[in-house]
Amino acid sequence: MPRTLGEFEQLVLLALLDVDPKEAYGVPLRESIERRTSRRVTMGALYTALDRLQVRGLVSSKLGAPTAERGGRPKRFYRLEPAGSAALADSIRVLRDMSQGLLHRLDLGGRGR
Amino acid sequence: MSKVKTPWPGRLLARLIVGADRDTLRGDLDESFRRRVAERGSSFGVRAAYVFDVMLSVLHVWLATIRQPGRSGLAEDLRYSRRMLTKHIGFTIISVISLSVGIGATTTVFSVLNAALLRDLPVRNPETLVSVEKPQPNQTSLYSISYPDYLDYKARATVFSEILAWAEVPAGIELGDQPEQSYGLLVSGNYFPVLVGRPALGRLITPDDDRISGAHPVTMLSYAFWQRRFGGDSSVVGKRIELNGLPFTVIGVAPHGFTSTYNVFAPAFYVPLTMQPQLTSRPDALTHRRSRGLKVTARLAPGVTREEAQAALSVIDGQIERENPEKGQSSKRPGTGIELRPIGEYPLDIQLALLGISALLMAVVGFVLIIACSNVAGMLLARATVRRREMAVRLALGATRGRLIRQLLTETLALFAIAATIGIALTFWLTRIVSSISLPAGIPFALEASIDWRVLAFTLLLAACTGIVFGLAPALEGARIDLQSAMKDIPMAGAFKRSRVRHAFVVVQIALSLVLLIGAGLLARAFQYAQTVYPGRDPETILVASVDPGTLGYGVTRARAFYQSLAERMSALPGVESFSMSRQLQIGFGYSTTSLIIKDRSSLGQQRIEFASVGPGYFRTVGMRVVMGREFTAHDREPAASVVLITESTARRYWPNESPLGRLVEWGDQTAEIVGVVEDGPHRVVGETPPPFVYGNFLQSQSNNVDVVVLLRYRGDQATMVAALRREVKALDPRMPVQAAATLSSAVSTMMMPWRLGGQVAAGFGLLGLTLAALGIYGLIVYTVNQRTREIGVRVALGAEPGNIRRLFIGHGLRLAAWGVGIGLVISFAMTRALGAFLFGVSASDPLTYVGQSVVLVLVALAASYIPARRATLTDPLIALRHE
Repeated sequence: MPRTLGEFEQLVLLALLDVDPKEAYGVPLRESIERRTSRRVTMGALYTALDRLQVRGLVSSKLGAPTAERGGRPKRFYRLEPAGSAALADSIRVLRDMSQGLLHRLDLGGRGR
Repeated sequence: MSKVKTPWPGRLLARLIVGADRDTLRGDLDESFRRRVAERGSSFGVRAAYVFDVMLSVLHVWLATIRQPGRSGLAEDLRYSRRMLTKHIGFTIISVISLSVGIGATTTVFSVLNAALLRDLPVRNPETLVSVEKPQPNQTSLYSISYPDYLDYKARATVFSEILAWAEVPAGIELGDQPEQSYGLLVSGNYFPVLVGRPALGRLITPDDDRISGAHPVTMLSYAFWQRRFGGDSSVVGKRIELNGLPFTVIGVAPHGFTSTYNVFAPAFYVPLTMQPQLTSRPDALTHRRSRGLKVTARLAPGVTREEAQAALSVIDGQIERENPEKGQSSKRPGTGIELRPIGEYPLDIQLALLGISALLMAVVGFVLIIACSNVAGMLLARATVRRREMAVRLALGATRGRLIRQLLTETLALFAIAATIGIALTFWLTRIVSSISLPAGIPFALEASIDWRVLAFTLLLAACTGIVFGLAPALEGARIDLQSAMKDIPMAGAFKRSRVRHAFVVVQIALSLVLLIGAGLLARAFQYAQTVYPGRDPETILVASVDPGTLGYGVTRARAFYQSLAERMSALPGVESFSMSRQLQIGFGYSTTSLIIKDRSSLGQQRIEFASVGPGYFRTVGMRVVMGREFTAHDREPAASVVLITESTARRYWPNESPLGRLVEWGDQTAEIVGVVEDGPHRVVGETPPPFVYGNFLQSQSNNVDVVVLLRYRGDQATMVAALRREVKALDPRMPVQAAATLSSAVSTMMMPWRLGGQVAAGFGLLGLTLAALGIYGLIVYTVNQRTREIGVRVALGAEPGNIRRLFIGHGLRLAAWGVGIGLVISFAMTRALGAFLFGVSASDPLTYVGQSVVLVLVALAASYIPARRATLTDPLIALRHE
């Protein structure tokens, strides 16, 4: 692994696990992150992150057909690649190992902020 | 669901999204919005969230593109830009010239404002200095602290490491045979040691020079005064000069750049504060607690905040007030406490006035810049069409649209960067001119414009912002290419829209040029009119000079005796036809008003009437006709038998068909008899009925102010006359300064200098704008003619007359001009209100100026479109048809 994953990249990869692979394009991916974390996510940020991940071979994408609902614009569907799964698993493992036995010292509160 | 329209600001912004995923990203943004509307309805919050989302997305995508050097190649863009800019060198030169003038002018104005308002004072650690103010009820005076108060603060306040006092003082400076009236600064002994390091020459005033009242007749000169009056001669130290008639020894020169604790206030000299009683002829200046003539500046002790110091000093001030109750005053003067302000911060009213002037100046140069930018943007748009094939080839070879946009934008920014560099060079030159503008002597105001990091940052930001704003439209248009038609070189569908943007740029240029020209026209008219606003006739044979016995401490009686003797001596000289005096020079704004009651019209109550105080023989001297009765004579001296004159229109207003002579008016506790009627003075607004006007007799005036302007009508040589006047004044009192001796006509032009200067600057910018606008129209019509060559060929082939073709294009130019003029007039109407305060003799909506300048613009537009239109008619139909 040339580089570890950034926090936002982790969220994006997790979102790809969350959504239906047939619906893995911008809108549902963003909704997944927003719903689970209660954070606001900018569409442009999501795109640049996906672009970066694609360059690193962690995700792949293909262009869908244009739909009327989107003003005749196409969707781009993303897929988690094996390298992506591995990187995500690795990064979460590191976090888990490091935080073992320490979490009780933090007030994690409820879901998100 | 798909019927829901996305909010237009978002739609517009979304066009800025670049990159390969441009379309999918926009699709996702729109879909998100529609889903949200479907869930929650189209509330403001939902729409705002969409716009925000788009805005941030644009930023993200742009940042991401810039950050990826491997894929984007900024260096490559720059190399390519250089090639393009040198290839089209003509375009580059014209753009760079107009942009750099715009940027240079704007930067110059900014640097003046920076020097006056923003720059740190050139003193040691300005951040720990504060001004100490003691606000008085119902008073906005800057000066509020007495010398005894200052000494008490100094002895008791531990929150300050140093505390200094100063006061400005008007003074006559006697130096060689050229005395002048100016301002100096009285400073406490620690003033210079605390504020500046070392003098430019000699030594600083120190606490040792400030111990005993009246015992230290030493002075430091300001750097500017030393340069101006001594040419920077270092032998000045040890010389004696006379200030307000007292001899002082020059001990040093203040460091270069230092004026005072305000950047714009530039006194000519500095003297120890303990010399105040002598210099101002006020013996109790330093001993009386009610003599609040000082301004106090203090340095906070280490670790003390401004708030803590303010609280501590307020307590001390309260103690001082209780220890020194003033008779009959203490109850009226509640301890309002002390205010500490950062040094160099102006009081609010001065700040507002400065902001107003700054805004006006900035608007003028901002317009020039916008005109230049629109001009360049128009040319860039035209070039976008020419370069369609180039872009199409690059697209076909695999470049993305985002890449093309960035490439075009880089080119534009490179253009602006070159212009900014030249603009800064221009600013160096322009600020030197600004600093060398000599204000009439005696105004202690320094326009010190220099270039510092703030100015550079401003220029950079300005160039970057204007470059992006004005480069974006051409770049977006340039990259919007339909591959097929571009390669075949046929006009594509979007061409119409593109030319609309170009039209808008031309209209902007015309409109803003008109605003500048109208501003210039109004100022020029005001100036021209002001030239005629002087009393009497033949102003070139009237000599005026100011004589200020007040600065020498003359009382009223002594001053009158002085004038009496001077009048007798002057009148006896050959060549002097008549001699008189007046409280003020009656030109321009030099009028005051007074309230009086007209005895036999007392039912009218108090009348506010314009008023001037003049001496015997005034009307004969200036050449105003006394139409009834007589004017003041040397015999009208008893205050008990006061006399006044009124103007013709005043007489007509209050005593139509009756003689006003012998009627009484009452003002203050004085009653005066009307002994004469004089013709009306000059109008101040064309066509206005002159307001009621009364002339009081200076020799019977109850005012304590004894400084006057003397006037003499003479024959022969002006210089001889000036020398004679100085000689006679000197004979009466060798210390008395004679100021600003000049003919009335040149005094009028000196007074009007700001208007002339303002008018010239506005006219210069207006002409520049006009030239650019003309170029803009010309370029646009040339372009349209080229675009429509084929159509022209068809028309000519079908038998169209040359006149018809010509009208087609001239009409096009004129339509643009009409739009520009219309919009320009609206902006002018709104903006010239701000000029209103500076105009007189002409209204801010003066129809002649508005119509005249509009006609000028339309004529220029006509000429600019005629030349290419005429060329269009010369087209050979055969060639034209083969054109595409």
